[in-house]
Amino acid sequence: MSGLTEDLLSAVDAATAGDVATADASGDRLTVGVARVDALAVAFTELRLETSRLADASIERVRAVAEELTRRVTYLLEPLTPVEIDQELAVVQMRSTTPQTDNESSAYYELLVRKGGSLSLRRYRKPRGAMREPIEATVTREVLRRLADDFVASVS
Amino acid sequence: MSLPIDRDVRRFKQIVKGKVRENLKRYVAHGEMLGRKGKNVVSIPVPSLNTPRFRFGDNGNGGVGQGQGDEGDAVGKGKGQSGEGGAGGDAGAEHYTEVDVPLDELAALLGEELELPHIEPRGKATIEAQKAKYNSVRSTGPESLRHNKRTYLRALQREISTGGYTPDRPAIIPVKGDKRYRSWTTVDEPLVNAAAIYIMDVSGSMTDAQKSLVRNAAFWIDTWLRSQYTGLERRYIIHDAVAKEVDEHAFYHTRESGGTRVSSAYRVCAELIAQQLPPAEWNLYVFQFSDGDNWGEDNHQAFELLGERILPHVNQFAYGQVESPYGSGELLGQIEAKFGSQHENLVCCEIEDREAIYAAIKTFLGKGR
Repeated sequence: MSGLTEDLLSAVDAATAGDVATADASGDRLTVGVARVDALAVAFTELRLETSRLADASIERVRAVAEELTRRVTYLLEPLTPVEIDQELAVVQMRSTTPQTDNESSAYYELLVRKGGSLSLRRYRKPRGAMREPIEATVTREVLRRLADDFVASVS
Repeated sequence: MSLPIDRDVRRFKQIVKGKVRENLKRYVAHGEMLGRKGKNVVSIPVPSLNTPRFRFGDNGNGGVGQGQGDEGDAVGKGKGQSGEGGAGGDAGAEHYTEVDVPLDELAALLGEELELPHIEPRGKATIEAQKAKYNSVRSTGPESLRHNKRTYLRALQREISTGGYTPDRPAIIPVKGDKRYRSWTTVDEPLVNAAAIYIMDVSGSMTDAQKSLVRNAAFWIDTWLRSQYTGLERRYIIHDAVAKEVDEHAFYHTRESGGTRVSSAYRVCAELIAQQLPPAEWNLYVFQFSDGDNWGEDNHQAFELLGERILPHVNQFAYGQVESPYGSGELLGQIEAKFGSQHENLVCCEIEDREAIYAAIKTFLGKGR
């Protein structure tokens, strides 16, 4: 576990609902939009890594990062895979392979890997016959720690 | 005088037509018609056609026999006793018969069922083109148009009338005066050119199920337009982040994984119109299908192309948005907000599932443009 991740979790502990918890180290910046925190779990609106290591990345490099994330991040509610790859902007859009569905709605993760570079994870809910809306993603503290580690490791 | 077989054929066609009409909504929603399509006919599975026939009843309730009868006389079969029967076959094992229905008839049925208005061409409806119809025979003409049967008959008449014909040696040799040639008259026909441009998003977010919806909708739209215009020109454009013109097969069977840039398709469409289908000479119909998951930065460029280079030049621009499992399709709302009030030739609708195709076709074709 990296010091950056430890710093992020400390910032999350200190945050209240609506805050953005941030941790910086050697060109990497992790942020979490905190919705709720308790002893076991964290609900967040966005987990984001901004890194200088993807500043001039080619689409192949961005795609490799996305594939690395697919390989590593297997512990969320649904597995993530690249859905669309924009060669021109060098952006890979990853989503839950199969959204979680019930009678009224479906929900899924969306992870964008951009040249420049940023990794951004959000969760969306799509009610039947309506547009999608961003919702909180709830994970245990251990999963948040692992996610942050995997974000950093995938761009290393 | 019509033969009994002709009457039977007519009657069979009426029954088939009735069955197709009865099940049309189901065919529109679920039928994979494109795979069953020939040049001018489409093969449709029709629920079994049972010919009406007489069935023997029980002829009253009594047994057979006459008079009073005596004790011990055998009686005929009475009613069967009720009781438990054996197991039946598979439930619902309905039989289907494949029948070929001409595309024109199918279009007419669609038009009647959806109450579609006939399309009124714009622009060149009054311009007429001259067309040759070979409908007469003359005594002069090029050898390539020689009418052999008429020539032979003429020679035969001459031989018989001059006494040269002998049944034992029936050789008929036409001379120059016997020769007859096909000839034509020139008729004026209204000249109306029409082209349909189909645009489909094949980016990674479009699933096979969504493309199947598009495929069905496009088939029925195409069938209707072809019934309205002779020689309808059809063009196909697919796009993800990059667009290209493709043939019909590629249109329906290509899957890409790129991002979605609708502007790329609009650019190819606008160039196609400008270079090959000048609006002054063509009635143009554009049908775009997408899950509406356009990458945000692209909307400005896309709407500029749509508003300036496409919408002013087409009879109708129809946008059908198939529902994405991710629900991220925002293009429909954005197109409507941007152009809905200014352009009467813009038609938008959402195709949520297979059942919605029927309504979508009515929306797209209901204006009679």
